[in-house]
Amino acid sequence: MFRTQRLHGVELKERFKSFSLHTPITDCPLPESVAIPLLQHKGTPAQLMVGIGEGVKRGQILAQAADGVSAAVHSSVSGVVKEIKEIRLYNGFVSQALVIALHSEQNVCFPPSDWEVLSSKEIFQRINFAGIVGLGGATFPTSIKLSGFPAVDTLVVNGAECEPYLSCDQAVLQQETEKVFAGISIVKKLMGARQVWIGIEKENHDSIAKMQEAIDRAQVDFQIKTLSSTYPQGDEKLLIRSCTGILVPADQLPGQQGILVLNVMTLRAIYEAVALNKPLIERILTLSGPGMKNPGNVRVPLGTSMKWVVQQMGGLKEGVTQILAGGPMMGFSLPDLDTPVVKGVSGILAFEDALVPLPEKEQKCIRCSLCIDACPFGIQPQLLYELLRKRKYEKAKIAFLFYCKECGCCDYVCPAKIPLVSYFKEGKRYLSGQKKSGKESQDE
Amino acid sequence: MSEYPVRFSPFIYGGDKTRKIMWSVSFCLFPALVGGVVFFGPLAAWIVGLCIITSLLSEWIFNLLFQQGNTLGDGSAFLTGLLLGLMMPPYVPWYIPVTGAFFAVGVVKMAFGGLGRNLFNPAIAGRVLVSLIWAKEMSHWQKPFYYLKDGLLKIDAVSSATVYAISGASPLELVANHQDKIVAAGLKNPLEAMKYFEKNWDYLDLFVGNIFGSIGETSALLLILGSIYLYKKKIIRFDLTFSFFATIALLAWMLGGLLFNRGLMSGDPLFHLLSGGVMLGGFFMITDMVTHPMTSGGRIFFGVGCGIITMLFRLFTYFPEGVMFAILIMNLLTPLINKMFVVYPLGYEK
Repeated sequence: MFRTQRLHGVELKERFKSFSLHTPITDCPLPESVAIPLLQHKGTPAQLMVGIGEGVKRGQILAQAADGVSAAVHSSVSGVVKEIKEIRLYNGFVSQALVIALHSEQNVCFPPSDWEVLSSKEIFQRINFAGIVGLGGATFPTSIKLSGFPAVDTLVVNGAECEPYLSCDQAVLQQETEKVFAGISIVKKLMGARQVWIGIEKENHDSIAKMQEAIDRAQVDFQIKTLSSTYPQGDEKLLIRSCTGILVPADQLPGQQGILVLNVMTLRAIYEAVALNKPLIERILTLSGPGMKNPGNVRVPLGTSMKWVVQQMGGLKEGVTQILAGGPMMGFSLPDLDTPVVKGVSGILAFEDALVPLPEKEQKCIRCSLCIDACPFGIQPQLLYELLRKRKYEKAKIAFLFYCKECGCCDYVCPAKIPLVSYFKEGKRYLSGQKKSGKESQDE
Repeated sequence: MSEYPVRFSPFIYGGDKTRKIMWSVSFCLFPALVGGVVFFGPLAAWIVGLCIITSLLSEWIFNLLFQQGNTLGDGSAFLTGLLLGLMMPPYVPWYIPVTGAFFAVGVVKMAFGGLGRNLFNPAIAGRVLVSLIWAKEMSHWQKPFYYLKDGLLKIDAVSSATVYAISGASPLELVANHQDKIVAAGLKNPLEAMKYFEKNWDYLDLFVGNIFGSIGETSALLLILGSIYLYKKKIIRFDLTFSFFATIALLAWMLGGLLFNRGLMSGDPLFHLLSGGVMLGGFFMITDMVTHPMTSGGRIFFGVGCGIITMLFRLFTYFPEGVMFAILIMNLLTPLINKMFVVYPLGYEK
């Protein structure tokens, strides 16, 4: 079997990024109330520190990181905690959330300070306190990631926004370049990295130009790697291989190879945390899709209802049949817009029927093996499909079911319109459920 | 109550549908079909039409029997009928195409579970069945109706009555079935053999198709033409077809001379590549996705295996044509080959 540098994966037909990059990043007007969930990251929900009726200030900590994998949650507005209720998140999870009614005055600001005088320990503490998580969508608590691997040689910056329609990372690269650049410098100093690679897809000329400008101005040796626009170029291990040529073994994390990957949005948040002492209380996301009246990138305080954001930015067109949170390849379809914007939401996309038709009836697999060709992670979707169809879960696990990243490449190319990712998700869920309840799974 | 339907990712699709793939293959066989009709007359079109109609009818009947809903739209039954028709000699009684097509679609494909679940290539299986039952009729070749020489269309003014009376052997049969005469006359290679038997065919004739043979098999030119689009669309794979053709060429060169008492490494690879069902088989039969392995290594193994078996049949058995048997045998091995050649995840160390 050949191990080439060529990325498998798919060439998506159209990327639609320019849709939303026409206009500069807009600030979303403040709503009347926000609902800030305690679970906006991978792991355990944060532990509540305030109660109902308390007044909170913008930037104040609401919940501290629990033990284990967790992150702190801060208030994005100044106001009064009205209630604590359970809400449904964009990814289907349910979490306790604080509903905060805003005061008319929101005058908390975060003046910049010189971060270069801070020691590594102080830098880390600020990142830790700020509740920063991976903002590319993975939402893994960043401070835990940074502390897990003290010996880092290479820092890889993920500017490859491989999902179509989403352009918030590019907007940040183009319009807040200095913040991203500072974030990179902060992390480089913190981790003592020797070299820095910045991966940006080749069609984003403006982003590459702006970043190159910043590098030239500061006269550092960061290197920009122009990436091919194949999906999913933004995956951690594929990005590392494209930038450095190193292939991280399947059972290892990049940190074990001395490599750290961080998303540009996360780096921007790191800059704000360290230099402005501002915790993660807002994020920039993309409103796009053919069903969105005014596509663009918008800066939203966390906890704002998506309905409010979409309304304020112009609203939806007639005949919208699908709303997605995230990108169309790996995002989540929403039953309605009554859910808050949280740390992991990188975009809200609206589709009309034409572009995202309801799925056709699943046909029989013709063994064309296009799915095997498309899979960037080297698994055989057809084999897993056959096994899972017959409910042979254990055999599917042996056939590397858990190495599937659910990127959707196989689904994208399947001529028989088989919902492969759904099969894999169901298989994984079944096997995880079996493991939790301690039962032996039976092959039927 | 949700405003919008909740589905799972991904939400965009880019691939061609099954239907489009099947009809694309049929479309790419069209040049070969036209060539067949030009060479062998309107009767060829009738035979191919019979095969197609029977295929469609068989699939429809079995759809009803199994209460499956109509699957005729996916174009696979049409394709099977078309392929089977192209493999028929240009003059066969009606019951041969009908039996072949019914067996191919009804038994080999539908009874196994329909599209995607058959073990054997239906068209090939149909052809093998009728070749074994009606061996004499299946090796009755007809003189091409029109001669196309050097780009000029010289219509041979032969009436249809006499056409059926002019018959003869295909190039492979000439070489295979007249061994004693060939050796006695001291002929060195297949081309000389053909001249000896008063068929002045050269490589160009073999390439264009101006020879005796099955309706769609003769013209390498038209088949290659049709295959270009399929390569581009990745419906047929380079590793599979190249391994097949390369093995044929290599073995033809290594062992082909044995028939002419010339020893090893003196055979005629071009002759073997251009005659018989190698071109049709290589581009359209072994590449039936359902019945060949799914990984690159598996496909190469499959192609090489088909090539070896084809040449063994051609050179060392009574059958002048080996492609169809080779494909059937390798189809049988495909599930095993799929287990042998496995893709490992990225970065996986065994």
